Amino acid sequence: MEYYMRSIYKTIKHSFLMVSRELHTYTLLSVSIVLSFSFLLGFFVYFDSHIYNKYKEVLSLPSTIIHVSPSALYNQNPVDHIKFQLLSDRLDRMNETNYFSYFVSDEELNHYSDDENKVIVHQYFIPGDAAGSYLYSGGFKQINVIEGSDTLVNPFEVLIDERLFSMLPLQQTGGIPTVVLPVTINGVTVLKEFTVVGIVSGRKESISTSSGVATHYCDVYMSRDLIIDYSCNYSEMGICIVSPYIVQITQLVRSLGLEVITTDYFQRQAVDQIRNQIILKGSIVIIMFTLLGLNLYSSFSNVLKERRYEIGVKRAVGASKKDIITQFFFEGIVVMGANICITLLLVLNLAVIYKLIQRVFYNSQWIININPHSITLFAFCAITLSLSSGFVFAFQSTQVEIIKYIKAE
Amino acid sequence: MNFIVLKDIFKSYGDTSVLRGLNLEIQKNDFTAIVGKSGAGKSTLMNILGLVEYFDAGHYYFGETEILSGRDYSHLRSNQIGFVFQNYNLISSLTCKEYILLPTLYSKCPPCDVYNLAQMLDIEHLLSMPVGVLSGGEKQRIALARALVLKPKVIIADEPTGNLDKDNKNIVIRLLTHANEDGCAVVLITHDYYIASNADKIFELRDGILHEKYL
Repeated sequence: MEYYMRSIYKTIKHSFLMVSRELHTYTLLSVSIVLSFSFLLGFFVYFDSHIYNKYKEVLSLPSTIIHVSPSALYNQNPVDHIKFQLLSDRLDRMNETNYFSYFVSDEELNHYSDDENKVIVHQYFIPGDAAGSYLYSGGFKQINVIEGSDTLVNPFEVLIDERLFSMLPLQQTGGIPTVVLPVTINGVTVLKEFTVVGIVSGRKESISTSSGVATHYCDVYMSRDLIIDYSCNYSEMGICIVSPYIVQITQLVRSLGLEVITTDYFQRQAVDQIRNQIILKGSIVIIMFTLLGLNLYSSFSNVLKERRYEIGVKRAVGASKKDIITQFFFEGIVVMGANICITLLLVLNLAVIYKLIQRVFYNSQWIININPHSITLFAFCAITLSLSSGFVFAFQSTQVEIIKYIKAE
Repeated sequence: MNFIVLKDIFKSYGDTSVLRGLNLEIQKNDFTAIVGKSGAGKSTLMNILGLVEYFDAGHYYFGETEILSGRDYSHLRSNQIGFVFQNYNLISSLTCKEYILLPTLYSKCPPCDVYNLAQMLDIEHLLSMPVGVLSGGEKQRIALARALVLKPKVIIADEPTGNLDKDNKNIVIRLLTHANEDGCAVVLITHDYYIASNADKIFELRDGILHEKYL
């Protein structure tokens, strides 16, 4: 047993020595392994990151949020107010259920616009303590105060987003800033000065129109009292509900003829899409695994062609088939292991470079993500292909006829 | 007592018959030389003796083991046979020392002192060099050192002095004689009758069989 262990140790040591001395024969194989595995791992990283970045916002939402709106937007039907009142009465009787109504109006800020830039504000009229809640505007978004107060104490206080804050005149940003906003009362739009009490994280994108004018969309959160007490006009209205009774509330809202959207629905939809994409990923991986296996088989066979003379000599001086199998098996494992490590470093660096490109050129926060399934799948591919390549390499090495190759130096 | 016995050995390559009922007996301390013309089958005989080539028919006894054609006897090659090849068969990616010690990877036998052996062959200054850069004489001495490193029971040397100058020939013959005096059987193939004259027995391989020659 001791002899056997010592023999294995010597053979492994010899395998390392031969890999270091036969690097030139392994160069092409290494390039092939690194490219193949980089493609596989790169595919996993890109695929998982793409899914993660696409659905991260939806999946990070609480699943208990329900948004209710009138069946016809921009059509202020008095019946909707009655329906909203009926809904409010039912919601008041539900445990663990909170809700608030809000209103939306879009206005162009002419005094912040110029020939090249147009500023449009989405004015959300919310309860004074609604900061931290979620609203729906094409998608769910949170009123996330990043600086200042998160409460609107009087009707002439506002929360504005980062983009609008960056447009305020420089001299204002030092003290308590104010912002002049249009408010429409009975069809007449007047400019009013509001005190900015807090800054909210907001969307950063600008949309350029075909005429070359950049349109900047900004969000402003104003007090709902402007609607209720000052009769300001609005174009949309909605109710945001936070409740664990999603099914019951959804049924109730639909029975009232109102529109309902829930975060839970979006999340289930996202999960379905992710599941479909995972099936697609699995299919692609099976094809890639097969191609990789064939590629490695032929690459190892080529390496072996250059080593047949060495095998012949070793067999002639006393190496048994087992010795040769052990040596070439470990050589295969060493080469595969080293190249897989290189692959990991390469792909990681490429992913970081891609992330930087996204940040610098597209102003997008691309998060590198690889999920445990992909890690497991990659590890499975790497281990299976390493072992099978090692075994095939080792097995092929024993097919060498001693006499044929020691004569053919 | 005979250590190696070949009885009615036949070997052919396609239609060409090389060995035709060859017989040979070698005892433990024998120094045997085999001479013959080119193409007579000397190297084939050596390869069969060295267990690297199969024979077609006949009986081969190595010690107490009957060698069956088609089977692998790597344990005998590693523990009991030191084979010096005609064309050195060095592995260019190894250093001289690594190449000399190569059989120790596959054998249970303890190696002899490599530095002593290298001194005897005047190759101690080459030990750390890659084998690819050596001259013909140096390569042959390295190959001989590899064959001797495990103190084998039989040394089979196929033209070990074929490419050497006189000084190197003398070194090689001295080493083989020394090994023979230490109890190792030596089987030597050569064209050179001067070299063959160092052997106890000389055979000529002709028409596929061995004929004993008396110098």
